[in-house]
Amino acid sequence: MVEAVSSRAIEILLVEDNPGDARLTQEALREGKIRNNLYHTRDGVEALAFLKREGEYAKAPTPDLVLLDLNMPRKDGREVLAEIKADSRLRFIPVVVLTTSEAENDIVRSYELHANCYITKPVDLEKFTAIVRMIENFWLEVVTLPNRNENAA
Amino acid sequence: MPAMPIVQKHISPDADSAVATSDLAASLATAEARIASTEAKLVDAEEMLHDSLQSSLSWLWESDERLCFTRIVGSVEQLLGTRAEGLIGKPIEDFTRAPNDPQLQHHFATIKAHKPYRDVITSINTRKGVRWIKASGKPLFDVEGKFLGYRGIASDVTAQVESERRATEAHRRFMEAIEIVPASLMLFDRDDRIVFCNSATQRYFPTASHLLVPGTKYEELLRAHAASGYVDGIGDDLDGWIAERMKAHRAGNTNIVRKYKGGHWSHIIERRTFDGGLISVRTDITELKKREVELEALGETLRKNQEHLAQAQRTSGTGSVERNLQTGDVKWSEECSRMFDRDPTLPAPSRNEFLHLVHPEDRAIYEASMIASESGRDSDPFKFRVTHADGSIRWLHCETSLVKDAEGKPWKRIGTYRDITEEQKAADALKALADKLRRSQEYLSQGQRLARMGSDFRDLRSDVAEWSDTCYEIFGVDKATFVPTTENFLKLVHPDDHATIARTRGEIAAGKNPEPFEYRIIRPDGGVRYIHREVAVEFDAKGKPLYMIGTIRDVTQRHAMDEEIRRKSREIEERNQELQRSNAELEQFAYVASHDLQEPLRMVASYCQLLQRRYNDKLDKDAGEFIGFAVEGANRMQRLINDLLSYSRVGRKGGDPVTFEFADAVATALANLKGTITDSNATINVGPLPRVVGVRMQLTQLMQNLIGNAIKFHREGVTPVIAVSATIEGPMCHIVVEDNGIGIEPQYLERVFLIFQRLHERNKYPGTGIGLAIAKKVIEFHSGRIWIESTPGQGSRFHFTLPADIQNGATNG
Repeated sequence: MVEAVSSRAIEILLVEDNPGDARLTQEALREGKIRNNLYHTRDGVEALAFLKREGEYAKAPTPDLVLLDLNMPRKDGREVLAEIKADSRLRFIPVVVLTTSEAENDIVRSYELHANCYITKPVDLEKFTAIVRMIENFWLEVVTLPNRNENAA
Repeated sequence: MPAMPIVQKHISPDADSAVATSDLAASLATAEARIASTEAKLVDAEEMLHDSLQSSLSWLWESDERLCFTRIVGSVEQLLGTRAEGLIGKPIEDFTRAPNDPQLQHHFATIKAHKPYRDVITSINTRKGVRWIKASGKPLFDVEGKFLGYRGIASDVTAQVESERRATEAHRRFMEAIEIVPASLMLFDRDDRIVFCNSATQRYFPTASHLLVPGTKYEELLRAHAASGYVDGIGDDLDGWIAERMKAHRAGNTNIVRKYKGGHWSHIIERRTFDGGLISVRTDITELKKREVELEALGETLRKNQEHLAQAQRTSGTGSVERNLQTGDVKWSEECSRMFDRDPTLPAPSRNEFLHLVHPEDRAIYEASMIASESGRDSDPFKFRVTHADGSIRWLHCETSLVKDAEGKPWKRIGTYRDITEEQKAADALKALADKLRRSQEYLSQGQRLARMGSDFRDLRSDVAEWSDTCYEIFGVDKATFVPTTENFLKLVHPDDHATIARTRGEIAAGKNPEPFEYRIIRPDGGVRYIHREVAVEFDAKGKPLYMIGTIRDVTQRHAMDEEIRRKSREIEERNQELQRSNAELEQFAYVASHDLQEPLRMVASYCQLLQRRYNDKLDKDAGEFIGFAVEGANRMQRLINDLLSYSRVGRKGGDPVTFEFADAVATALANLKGTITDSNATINVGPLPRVVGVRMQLTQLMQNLIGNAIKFHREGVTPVIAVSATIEGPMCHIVVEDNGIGIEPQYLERVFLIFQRLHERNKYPGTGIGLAIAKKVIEFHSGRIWIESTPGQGSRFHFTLPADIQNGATNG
């Protein structure tokens, strides 16, 4: 399912099974200053199909940033991360692991799988909003990323 | 050898008889001329002649011109056993036993030439045996010179000849004897020339033997002898030496001993002979001298031995006392004075004085011995003590002997004393040692019994073994009936363990000492026992086993205990696994708590907040308040979950223990608490702190919790003052965090360390009540102890201990 939240410029893929969380992220981004298109997939299988433009995602854009939850049904975030970073066409996409887990294992494992950063979701809404804005700001404004060869759909 | 006869063969002529004969003839002629006047005298003379012939050994004879006897006057018959008439008319020549004797032939020639002869000796056979006759004859001529016959005299000289023959034989025997003796015999004449020397003499003059001939002067012989260097001790002055020697020689009183080259010795004796000559006798005394030297050496040895003996007696401290029982006189040796510690210049002690020298407790036995001697009985050797002036007590051994006089009365008592103090000491020590040994053996036996251990010895060649009593007890066999042969022993061994025994026996046979091993036995009563066996085998030079010494220990109990330990270990292992499982579950729980519990919580909290933010103006006051409670509850829940997670992570987080300055942990904690400290205006005094061994992150958190707590629970209106100090106590350091806060009621002192225990309402002192629980867990993880002293309203002291860095020396001040 592709859901274009807004038009123009930045494409963000959110991989999150919890609709509540997805909505909160969406709300936070909406309150942000950067114009973005947020796509949401609910598990790893959908996410990889999206990234590889398979099936219904044939026309999906290549995202500028992936927000990846770890614990999901079917295919979890670690597998998705591993496949993105193993794929030469996808590995340059910054992947931010955004999860409720504070487990040391998850943190270490994620970085071993070349996660670009690991962020624990705060319970407090204000803090969460602030963090999402920081992510947005850092990865989409501060950081210089390589130029795309192909245009987003 | 030139043996010189000392007696010349010589027969002295019967001069008187010959003269008598011629005188008779002359007087006959005178008588013829004066017949008448002297007829009487003639008859008288004839009678006298007859008588004298009868009493002499001679007779007169006459022959005719044919040399046949015509007349014989004298006692022929008595002398020769032949009648004179029987000889008349017989030729003179027949009157001999050895007609062919050349000397006699010459005589016969003289007779036939009608010449006079004197003293011709011949032997004849007579009825009285062989007789020796000496005859003289004078031819008679008439005036015209015509031979008329012989007239002569003959004598029986048998006795003379016999004695002469005996003298000659004696001389020869004497000469032979002289030749046999090993001594040198020399005879010198009055001119000091050699007359004779026996052949042994050559040995005494080996360098001058060529001079040992008759006629050599002694001085010539001596010079050659001495100059040859054969004689020892001459020195440079040869002439002087010879002069000295000649002086003694001439004096004829030589009696000297001389040494010669080659170790020969001679004894020289010289004496004058009756005729002014000299006899010189030399005897070889070399052997004698050797014996003398040997004897000398022997004597020296004997002297030394005697000295040693005397010395030995002195050093062995043997003294003797001789008491004359009849007179009471006492003689005692100086050694005795020393033994009895009595002034040696004092006279020997009397009987009673003597008794007083003896230790009072030993006087009775001493006196009994004296009385025995006095009454003529022997007394046994005994020991007694004497006390010396310096207070030391010496033990003496006394042995007595009793001498009786001719009448059998006791005469002398001789006591021999020996200082046996050291022997006595040694004997006492030995006795003590023996007692100790006996006790040790008893202890050993008892100990073996208690330790359920036996010892044994086995001669591997004869298979004869000795078992200690405990061995029999362990094997459950009767010592009286069980013979511990290998065969009998094997019957007791558990069938499954025969292989073990066979293996060790094989090792021993191969010359190896087996390692300790264990086997089971089945006792006659059916009980199975475990035996721990240790042996030491003695081998001969070829590695053949000789005998074996070993111990057996009943380790059945230990085996039971081992079994118990194994069972317990298994239990522990199981529990450990359980614990690991539960730990894993706890981690799983922590994970669940961190993710799955927080996820819905976040939803609740976030959406409540979102509602508040977006719809605050559209809701009424109650709705806003309710939402506020929901958010607050969710937040608190979130903190509890986080604290619980922290608590569960203690011991699993922060890495391995390291050595570090505890002050660094305190500094980090203070830095983390900077805001709180500034806000509360607290004063923190940190004393000297040691190096500790621990997990730095955890200890930092500990100090953060304790100092944070101390600030949090300050008294209202009182500025917090907190002191951190430390002391070293053995391997640990003891750290105190003291505050001037509100303090804790005594009944709560233990509760404060329990998780989520709060003593105060949340509004006043916020927090979940996890801080001290975590502190306690951290300290326990470091094998330390934590406790509190507190006075409510004045302050608290938190104490805890940690391993100090003792290796590098903890710094404490």
